[in-house]
This record gives sequence, C-alpha cells and structure tokens, in this order.
Amino acid sequence: MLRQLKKKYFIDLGSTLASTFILCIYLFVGWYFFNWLIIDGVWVGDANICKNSSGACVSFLKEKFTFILFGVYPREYLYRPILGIVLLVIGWIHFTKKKNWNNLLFVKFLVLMIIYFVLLSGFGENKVETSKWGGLPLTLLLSIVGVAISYPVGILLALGRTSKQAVPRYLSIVYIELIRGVPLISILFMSSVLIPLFLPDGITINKLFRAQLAIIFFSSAYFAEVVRGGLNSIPKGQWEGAKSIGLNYIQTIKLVILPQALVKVIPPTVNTMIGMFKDTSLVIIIALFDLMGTTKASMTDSKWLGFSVEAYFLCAVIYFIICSRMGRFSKKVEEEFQRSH
Amino acid sequence: MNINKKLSSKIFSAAILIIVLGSFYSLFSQLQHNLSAQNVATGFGFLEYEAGFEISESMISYDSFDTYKKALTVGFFNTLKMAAVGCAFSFLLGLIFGVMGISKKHALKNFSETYINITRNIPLLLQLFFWYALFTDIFPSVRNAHSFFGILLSNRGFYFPVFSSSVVNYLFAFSIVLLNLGIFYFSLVKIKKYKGLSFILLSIVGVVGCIFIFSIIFPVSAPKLQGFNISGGKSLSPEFCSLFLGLTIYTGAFMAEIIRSGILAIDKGQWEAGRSIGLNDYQLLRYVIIPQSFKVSLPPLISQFLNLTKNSSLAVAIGYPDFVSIANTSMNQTGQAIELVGLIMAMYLSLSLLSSGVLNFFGRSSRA
Repeated sequence: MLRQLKKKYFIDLGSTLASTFILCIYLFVGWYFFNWLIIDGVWVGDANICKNSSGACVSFLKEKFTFILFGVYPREYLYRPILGIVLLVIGWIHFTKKKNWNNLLFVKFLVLMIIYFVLLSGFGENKVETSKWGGLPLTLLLSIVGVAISYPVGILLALGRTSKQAVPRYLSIVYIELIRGVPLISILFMSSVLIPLFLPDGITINKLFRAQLAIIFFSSAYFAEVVRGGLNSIPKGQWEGAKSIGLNYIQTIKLVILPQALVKVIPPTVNTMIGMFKDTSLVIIIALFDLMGTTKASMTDSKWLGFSVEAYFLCAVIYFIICSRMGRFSKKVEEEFQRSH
Repeated sequence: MNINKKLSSKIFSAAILIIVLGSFYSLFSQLQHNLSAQNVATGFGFLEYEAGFEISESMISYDSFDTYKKALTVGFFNTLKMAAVGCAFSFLLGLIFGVMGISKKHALKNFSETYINITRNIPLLLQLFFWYALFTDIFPSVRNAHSFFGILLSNRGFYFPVFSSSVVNYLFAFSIVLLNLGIFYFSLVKIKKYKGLSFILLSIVGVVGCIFIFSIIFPVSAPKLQGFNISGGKSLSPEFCSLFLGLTIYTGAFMAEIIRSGILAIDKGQWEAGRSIGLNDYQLLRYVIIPQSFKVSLPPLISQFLNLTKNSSLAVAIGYPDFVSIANTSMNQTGQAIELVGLIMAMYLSLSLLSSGVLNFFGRSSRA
C-alpha cells in the first residue's frame, strides 16, 4: 500500500514537489472546512449564538432542513413525497442494470412517473395543490417529466432531421437550432409571459405546467442532437440489410436502427439528463419553489438572517450527490463500451 | 408500389406542413385577439421612450433619461464584456486543468479530476449565488476591507491599483503577455528537466519584476479608503466578480474535460513517432499533438464559448445588468413582453449563428 503510494505520487523530485503542493492545498481546504463546520460550527443554539461564532450555523440547517427539502408541502402528508423519492431511487437502481434495457423499460418508466405524480398530488380529500409543491420533489418532478416527454420528442426531431424528406428535415433543423441558440431563461420568460397571451379566454395554465413546458421545449432540442449522433453512427449496411428483408421505414427504425442507436448514446444522453437536472434550478427566476427556490426562501426568515452560505452548502451537497451518481453511471457505461470495442 | 410510396410520403409532408402552419395561424390570431382585448400596443415604438431606470455599470455613458434602446445597448455591451472576459479566462483555466489531467504526476491528475467533478455536478446558478453571497454576506464592509499588496476586497467589490494613464496599462498588459510567451518558449526548448515547474517559477519572477519596474517608472493610482468610500484605482462590482468567477470556474471544468480528451484522442504512436524523429517536447506539442487535438476539440470548445455566453444570461439572478436583465426590467415597466423576448432570442441567435459561421470558415480553411 505504502509502496504503491510512493510509486504513484513520489517517484522523482518533480512528482514529489507536485504531490506535496497539492496535498498542502487539500489539507488547507480540508482544515478550513473542518474548522468552519465542526470546531467553530454551532450545532446547538439559536441565531444569536450563531451570529457570534465564525463557523457554520448548523442549527439553522437543522431548523430549515424539512423546509429546504420539501418547501411548504403539508407536513401531515410528508410521507408521500418521501415515498415517491424512495421509489425513484429504486427505479434508478433498476433502470441502470444492463439486463433491464428493453422495450418494457419505457413502460416501467412511465408507470413510475405516473405513480410519483399521483403521490405528490394525491386525490380526493388528500389533494395537495401544485402551488404547495416545492423543494427536492418538485425538482425531481420537473426533471423526470421533462425527460419522459422531451426524450421521445427528441427522438422524433432527430429522425426528422436525418429524414430524406425536405419538410420534416427543415422543420426539425429550424426548431433544434433555434432552441439551442438561445438561453433557457429566454424560453422560461417566453413560457411564463407569452403562453397566457396565446391562450383563448378563460383557459389558464398554472405556473408549474408552464415551467415544465419550457423545460420540455428546451431539452428536446438537446436530446435530438444526442440521438442524431447515435443515428449517424449506425452503418449504412444496417439500413440496407433491413430493406433487403422487406422492412418498411417504421419497422426499420423501430426494430433495427433505434435499439442500436439509443444504446450507443447512453453516456451523452445521461450527460444531457444531468444538464437538464441542473437547469431545472432556473425555474426560480419565474418564482417557482424548487430545491433552489426553497433554499433561497429559507434565508428570508427574519429570525435567521445571514446564513446563506450554509443553506447553499446543503443545497450543493444534494445536487452534487444526485448529479455525481448519474455521472458515475454514464462513465461506467462509457468504459464498458470502450472495453467491448 | 413505388409511386404509391412516393405519394404517401408527399401526403405525409403536406400534412405536417398544414398542421404546423395551421397551429401557428390559430395561435397568432388568438394572440392578436388577446392583445387587442387587453389594449396592448405592439411594435418596437417603445424603444424610443425614456427608460427611467439607472444601470449600475455601463461601458457607454448612460443615465435614466436615456431611451430603452440605449439601455438595451448598454446591456448588450455588458453581455459582450462578460462573454469576452469569461471565454478568455475559462479557456485558460480549461487549458491548465486539461493539461494537468494528462500529466504523469498523479497528484496533478487527481487535483484536476476533483476540480472537474465538483464544479460540473453543481448547478451554475447555485455557484453564482454562492459567489455572490460570499461578496455580500461574508466579505467585510468598506471600512474593514481585506487588503493585500494594495488590493482591497470588500462587499462593495474588488479594488486594485492601476497605472494612472491608460496607455501605460495597455503597455503593461502587452508586456506581461509577451514575457510569458517568451518564458513558455524558453522553458520548453532550453530546459531539460522540470519544464512545467521552471515555467511557473520563471513566470512568477517575470511578472513580479515587470510590476516592480513599471511601478518605479510610471505613477500608480492605488485604491484608498476615503470616508465611507474607496477612491482611486480600478474597481469591479460584486455582481461582475461573482458572475465572472461562477461562469469561468464552471465553464473551465467543461473545457478542461474537452481539452484533456482532445489530447488523449491523439494516437500514442504520434507521440512515439515524434520522439523517434528527435523532436523535443515543444516541437512535439507545437507541430504534432496540438494541431491534431485542436481539430478534435475546436467544435466542442466553440460550443462551450457559446454556452458561456448564453449562461451569462443568469446575470439576471444576481443583478449584473446584462442584456437579459435589462430586457427583463424593461418588460416589467412597459409590458412589451413579446417584443423583448423576441429581442433576447434574436440577440443570442445572431451571436450563435455568427460563431458557427466563423467555425465553418475556420473548419474549411484548416482542412484545406
């Protein structure tokens, strides 16, 4: 173990110097952080004790933990979003196993999504209005419904863009390039300000749905580009082979091309999903209370002012855990592909 | 059968076209109906009205009596400024960490991986909020500003000394760049061992020497505390600093990954062949590796530059007056949402079309 360490980090003068320097940086940051969180951190006590200490105010986080995670969701029904998140975690573990990658996966995913939605909203007397949804469950909802709709739309757009017919091709190109050329914020603005203007009198769409629409519009263009990469990587022989056994276009796409193309682009697809998950934080700009929104809102309590860094830290940890789990999966698949080639 | 197929595909195309055009038509007629019902005037006439709001930082002269057009121009230049500075520095950061990522020294590799891992897995908006909170909540007030080597750091922003005349400032920047290029060349070609280390050391010595010589010859204007404010020197607002830090650090991680994989994509044989015909490290990188890896990594790099420009629109969340943030203020004041969202989109679209045009041009010329 020690010898390995020596071989890896301390072979010659150069690497020893570099290792020592980097180690010093790590130690310094680690020590600073340890001081901030543990030694100077206030774990028990109210805001006044926190204000007099130079460390982290952990008691603020303890006080606001439920609020940051779940927003103003009614406390008596809190078990429902928790159950939903547990189901999602189980689903994630299930979906990332290679033996489950078949057509049934899409059905399972849809069922899971519907269950999650029903759990959040409830029905009858237990119904919880969408305006009360918040925190992590909302962030997850925006991303999962976003993926579930924009991924198929993205596939259609990619097929359109690679199609030989002019009309779908140009429509797809215009759509994809238009969306990819503008920032998500402008699309969020558009959906929050403009959609009401496009609707007939008397019909209103709630804010959550509008934000969801914007996210779907936005990410379908990115999914389309990822899928197009997969479609382009399929050799021509596959198309010709399918034609020679008498498959028509839809059969060829469904049975031959897509199953290969989609598996090939799993890593970039997951990366797009990570990007989308992170991008849902932008809905705070149109005043929705997703995880970022509740984090921001937790700082406005007049009893606990000035602990923004602590709140951001907790929020960052949650985002980091979820994103890095997804990223690790994408990396694993990529390495598997490289080994098999 | 063939004719049948052709016909059906034509019908399919026509159907799509009719559906798309039809839904556009119905949406727009509804829009017109709604707008006339709400008595909202359409058109860009409002751009000539007086804006009436102040803008905290501007590259051109502006006050609240100027028109919306002027205000939006200010925002446009602020966006361009942020994009230019952010692109330059994130590329630099990406280059440093990308090269560290392929280093034979495991510690450096590890450090680069840690940086990429942390920054890529946390939303940019959160990072921006964090940097902004650092400035506004953590840094001291002007009276107790942190100061080192004439640099002042407070919740009002970042103050640093400059030379009194702007010509000298340009001269200074130019000579620093030139000096570092010279040192880079020298350390790669002339020095046998520890090239990276000697480059860093020489560069530090060179920059410090340069500052020393310049400050003896030319008059310096240093920031000083006067009453409740800081005078002299040059300052960057907390909004600018936090947006700049956030964008640069976030995009730098993506660039590092692109540059790293671009260099890794070069076949090992290229390195060996280069060494076997007696090229030194500088020649090997300059004539063999970089040109090839550049071809792989240029398109994703350009798209990262574009991403940075688009992401700079998050300025609206922390109050840096970029184009989107000023358009948002104008939207709240005038209610001309359609026109302003259209302007935002047109602005970013033209930037991205411009850059993809440039990319195509260079792509063609480098292939030829």
